[in-house]
Amino acid sequence: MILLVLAFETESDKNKFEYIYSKYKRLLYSKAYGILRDHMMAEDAVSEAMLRVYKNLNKIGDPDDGRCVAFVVTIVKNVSLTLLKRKNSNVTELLPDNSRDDFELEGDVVSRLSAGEIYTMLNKVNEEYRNVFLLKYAYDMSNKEIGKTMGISPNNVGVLLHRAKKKISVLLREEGIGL
Amino acid sequence: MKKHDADFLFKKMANGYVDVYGGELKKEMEDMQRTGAAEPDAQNNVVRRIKAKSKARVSGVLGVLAACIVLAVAIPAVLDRLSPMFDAVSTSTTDEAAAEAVMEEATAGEAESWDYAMEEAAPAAGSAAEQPAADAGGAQQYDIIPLNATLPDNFTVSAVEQDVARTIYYIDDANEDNVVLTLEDTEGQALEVPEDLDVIMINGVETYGKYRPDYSVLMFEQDGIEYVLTCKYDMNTLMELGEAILI
Repeated sequence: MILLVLAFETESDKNKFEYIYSKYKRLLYSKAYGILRDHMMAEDAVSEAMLRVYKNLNKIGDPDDGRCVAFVVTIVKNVSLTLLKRKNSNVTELLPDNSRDDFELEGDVVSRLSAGEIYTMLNKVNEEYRNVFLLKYAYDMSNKEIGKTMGISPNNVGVLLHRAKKKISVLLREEGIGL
Repeated sequence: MKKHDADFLFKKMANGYVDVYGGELKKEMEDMQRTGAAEPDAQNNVVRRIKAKSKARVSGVLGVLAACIVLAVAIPAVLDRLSPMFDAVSTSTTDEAAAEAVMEEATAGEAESWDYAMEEAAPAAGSAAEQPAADAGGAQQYDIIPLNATLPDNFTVSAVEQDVARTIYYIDDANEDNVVLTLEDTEGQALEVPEDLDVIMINGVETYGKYRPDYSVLMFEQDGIEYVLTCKYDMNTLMELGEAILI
């Protein structure tokens, strides 16, 4: 259905998109349903997420790679969270955080943490903050691109990003690593 | 530490996270695909169970029918042997003739079926033969039991099948948690509820259900019809349908 309204630059892009959709649609649906608990809304979330994936197809390398799955799932979760907020009439513009956005981390901080420890630690960060953080740092998206993907303003992206980094710094400090 | 250094570290963390997260998701997806591959078997399993129960029911009906036929054939034969002793009963002659004619027709393997023969013999052989004949006709000609419910938008009836007394509805769910729903007239009998099912109240009606690893089940009675719903994954799917039916 989505394919009917999308124009692809190349045949390979079209194939890539089709492949991603057919391979991950069920997983995406289950993630969306897990947040929304509503079949219709979960379907909408998957459709909307796939449109956003289409717009960011260049961010996806190998469609079979774990990074690709993580990307599309991050997007569908964002969309689902936005829909849920809208449903609960809870969409507000975030107030800018006045604190400075410079985080002093020890140079070897990451090498002192295993991948599993990083995973566990970042899972303690609010999902919305974490998703912005991942889109920014794992997928090299600009605030404007993230804003379009999440349906929020670039300013809000900046606020969420700042909060994510602040929380991560706190968590690192709790682990005895960092500042 | 300068901001760009911190960014470098955040980047490293984010990439580390995404690698692990991607691996977890791929594993989750493989599990889903494995479950999905097993789904048709589970669905077949449900249908097979339904049909096995129906076969047992058909066997029972056929057994009763066979016994009635034997009686219908044997009674005139016995009367035939005893007739010299009851010459006074003049009507017996006509009865015998009718029954004899039926037997001859049947044993000669002519076109008339046993049902037809029984109907022919009924006025002569007595009213006892009438009931089984009616039952035999009913066992073969059940009507589809209509599903009087407005299903939520995510459900679509993909097929309807009549399996003897049961009407089977195959309901597709947008969540791919397809449902098999069977409807059967309870004929005044109480609902036979398997012991392991839990009582679940839906719209103030007592229903019985259970999540099982191979398939979930929900059953209830409404207006003399037994409803049995089964699906592969989510008990909520069944409860959602139950709510739509039990209005």
